[in-house]
Amino acid sequence: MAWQGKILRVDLTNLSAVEEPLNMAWAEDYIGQRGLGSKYLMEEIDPKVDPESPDNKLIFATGPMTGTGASTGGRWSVITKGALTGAIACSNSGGLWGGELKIAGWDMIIFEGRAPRPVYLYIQDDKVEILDAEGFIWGRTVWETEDMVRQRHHNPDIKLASIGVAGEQGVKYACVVNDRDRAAGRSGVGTVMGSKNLKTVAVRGTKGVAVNDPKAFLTAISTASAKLNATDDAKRRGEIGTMAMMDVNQAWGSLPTRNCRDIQFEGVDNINVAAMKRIRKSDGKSNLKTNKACFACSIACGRVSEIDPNHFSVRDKGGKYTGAEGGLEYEGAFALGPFCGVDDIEAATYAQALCNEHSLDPISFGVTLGAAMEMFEIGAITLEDTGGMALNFGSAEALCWAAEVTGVAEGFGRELGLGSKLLCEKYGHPDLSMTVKGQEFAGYDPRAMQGMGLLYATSNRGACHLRGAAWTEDYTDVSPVGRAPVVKTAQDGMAMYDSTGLCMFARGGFGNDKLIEQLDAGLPGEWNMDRLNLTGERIWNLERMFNLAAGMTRADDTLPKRMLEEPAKTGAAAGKVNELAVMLPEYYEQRGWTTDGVPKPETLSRLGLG
Amino acid sequence: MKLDIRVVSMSGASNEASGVREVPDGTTANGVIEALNLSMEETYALMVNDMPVAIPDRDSHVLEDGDKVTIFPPIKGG
Repeated sequence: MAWQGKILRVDLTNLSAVEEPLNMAWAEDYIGQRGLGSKYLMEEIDPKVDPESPDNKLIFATGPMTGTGASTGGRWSVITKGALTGAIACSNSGGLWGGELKIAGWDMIIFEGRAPRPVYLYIQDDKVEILDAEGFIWGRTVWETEDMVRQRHHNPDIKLASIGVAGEQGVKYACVVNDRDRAAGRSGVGTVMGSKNLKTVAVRGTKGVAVNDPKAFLTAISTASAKLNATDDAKRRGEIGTMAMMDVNQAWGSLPTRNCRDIQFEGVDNINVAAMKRIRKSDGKSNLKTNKACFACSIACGRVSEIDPNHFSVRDKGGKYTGAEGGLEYEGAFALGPFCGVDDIEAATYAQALCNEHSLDPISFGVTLGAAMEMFEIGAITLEDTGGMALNFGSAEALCWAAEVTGVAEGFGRELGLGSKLLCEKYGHPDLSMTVKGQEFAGYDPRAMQGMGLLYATSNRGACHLRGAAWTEDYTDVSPVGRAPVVKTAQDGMAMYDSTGLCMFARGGFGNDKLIEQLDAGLPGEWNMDRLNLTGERIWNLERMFNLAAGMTRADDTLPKRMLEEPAKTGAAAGKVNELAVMLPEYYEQRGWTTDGVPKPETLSRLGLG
Repeated sequence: MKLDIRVVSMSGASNEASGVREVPDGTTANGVIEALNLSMEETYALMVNDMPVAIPDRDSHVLEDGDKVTIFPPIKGG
């Protein structure tokens, strides 16, 4: 009933796959997707394992609403121990792949071990095959893989979730890309997939998904969509996507610029929404072509762009990159643009396309490159190191080159593939790494957004804006006061919501009442906000327990020195640093944790984790 | 008095509310939001001369001639 009740367990070492019933007691307590996948991971692996060893497991999980037709119910997640972070990783994607897996009859796939040779998995409803990738798609790009697998199996409707060469070659922030340009992007989940010699998971589903009360469910999803569609927020996201944040962060002074040396970017007007829409002199077209949607989504925030065919990055590439492809979203754009000091929107769009093609997380790639640029400018990285490319801030040429060499892990691209933390340590400047728990910052500077700093520091997967931010408060004043309870509540809410299969962009639109109506009609049992809130808190604490068992401590709940000691130069936070030391003790108290950040026995007991 | 007003646009289009505008002396931060017919519930942030003015302070924050006022629409990231 919305859950299919079935998981697929794939033993890659022995090249075998078996069907198992879904643990319904766990599903009741953890819902699906992020929560349920994390529960399985916690139960099945030693948190101390090397993320890239066969002992780590890789879980592709849907939520109960995925594939049902619920409003925006197309989300799915990859859960594993992150190769980038060594922390529990849950990376969420949209597109069509998650719905396809669910419709094929599966809630979840658990990959174990390591294949003796490169393979791919092909699922057609109940039929599951592990097939050779060597001499076929191994070594190919994500895009080639999608085309070749569809062609081999004579079915253009196959959906794929794949890694490119970056994932095969151990780039630490490789992602899993589905449907050409949607990605489970963060924490190196694609790196883990590559370490298992698994190239792609190809799925064709034709079965459908049953729900508990079909009539009530139809009413619930249609009224939820209608409510969502009527909101200004949904219309705005459809029209301009997430790129809206570029101008907001510029005006507020929270736009991470030049490896966070600066907090506002003088070139922003060349890399914002207006720039995407501007008619180019060279060909009379704009960068932004249209928008597109994921499975069962009526918002359609995805960008589709066309790179200027006369731009230096693409003009000798035979038209490969000048068709309509996934364009810039804010998080990629800030990292490939202001963070590297680059104000060339065509170059950033090209770099984004390479990230999709080769399975690079554009946030981690751009933020790593920004750190490399700062180290180049102070002489810690030399022309000899890079093989002759000058990595100055603002160089669009360096950005495009870096994406090319990192995508295929060649030359200095191998160094950039280490991620910001390891790169900065290797070249002697660990303080220049804008990371938490090894994961690169998202597009919000914690000095100007105090709650975001607390979120980055405490997020279970390392620096991340999607784990429960204090948006309203952070864009109201630059104070740490009152942030701890807001961040705690938001984190629990996101942990719950990321477990349903729905998209976070819809929640504010259809509201908690429609969330409950959809879950209650779709699933057996009674669902209400009290239960959901408790579930979110349970998931957050489970993730925390994983990280503590992996060896992390309070010392990992911190921010780079630059955030704590170097005041912002301009904007709303001019003269200010992040006041994490003020917020963190209050946060631990709010959570029912000790002063060392360990959940107290009574907290675990209350959440059913004791 | 004159204020230099910018309503942060998220659509890439020029915003009619932005520009130099004449307002009565004694206009407060909240008074500007009202004068522009913006929804009080939907406005997250407001800055005067690049410094944020918190919501509780907006009724008492009297603007001065030449002040630069920046108003943000409601938005969350992603």
